[in-house]
Amino acid sequence: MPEGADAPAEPAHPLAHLLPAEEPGLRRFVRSLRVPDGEVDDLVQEAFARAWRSRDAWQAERPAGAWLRKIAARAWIDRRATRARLPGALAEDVTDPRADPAPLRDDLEAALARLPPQEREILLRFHQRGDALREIADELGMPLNTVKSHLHRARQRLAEGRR
Amino acid sequence: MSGSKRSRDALWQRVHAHLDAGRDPLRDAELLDALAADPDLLAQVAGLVDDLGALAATGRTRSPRRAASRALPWILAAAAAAAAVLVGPGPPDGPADRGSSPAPSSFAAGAPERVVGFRASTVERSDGQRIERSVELRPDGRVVARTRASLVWRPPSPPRTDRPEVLSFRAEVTFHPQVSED
Repeated sequence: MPEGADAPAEPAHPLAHLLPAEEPGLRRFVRSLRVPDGEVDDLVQEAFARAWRSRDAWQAERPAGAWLRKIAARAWIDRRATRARLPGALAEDVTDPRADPAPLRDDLEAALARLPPQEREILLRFHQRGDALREIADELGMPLNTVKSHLHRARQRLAEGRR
Repeated sequence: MSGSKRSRDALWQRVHAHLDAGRDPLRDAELLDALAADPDLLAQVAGLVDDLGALAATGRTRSPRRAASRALPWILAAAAAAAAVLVGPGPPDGPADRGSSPAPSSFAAGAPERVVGFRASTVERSDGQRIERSVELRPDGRVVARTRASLVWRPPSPPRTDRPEVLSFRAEVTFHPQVSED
């Protein structure tokens, strides 16, 4: 090659075209992890950066979106673990003593309203009032395992209905 | 049943076990590793944890710090009373060995051992918070009081009374190992 001539451009990695197209889906996924609004961009960028560093491990026949979600999930988990190790992490949990009880969010209230009444009652008694499972079973005249089954179904319905 | 369904059911069972016990499933590192391979399930669990936390917050009706301030005086009083009984004249010389050992029965009788430290602590739960308070009387005479609160997964007791529930009381006495010269 004559001196001074431009080197032939290296063909772009296929992910270079795919990543921007995957951004909206990845952003939706990150939001579904209940990441605060102010941290969504950061986590999306971190996921992209990790994906780019691992681009040689990407298999073109696999959907890029699913691969990116796993990377973002791992980034989110790592971030939580790092924060948990920071000194003072407990102190962040302290609530403002002057605060009134938090109002129930509208979207959560609507999701609760969609639960079968008995499951909803047990879920609220356990997670909102803090009743013990045995106490709930005694008051409702149900076997303990039945109460647990209702509670578990209620949680899963709530989780699946919120996606 | 498919392997994937079985795997998801197993993960859900683990999530429920944590929640039933009042623990945050997202603090289980092994579970998180498993969920990382199933991002959609991870998002469901993360969303559920967030929702249940919000639900627990609506059950909170009074300030844990105010509750804490009510309990603190009796801890201080207990610490001061215990220190008054326990602190005796120290050995005339020699370095103080600050090892800990069970409290000797001769303490109340005014044995000559030297108490070099006293720490009393309580753990309470109050409206979804676990509150640990401690008072420490240091060998140099200083009194150090600490309060640490953290959210527990659910309010372990319904907000029916205005009193925090004291889960434990612990007192530790650090003293010179020469318990008695008699």
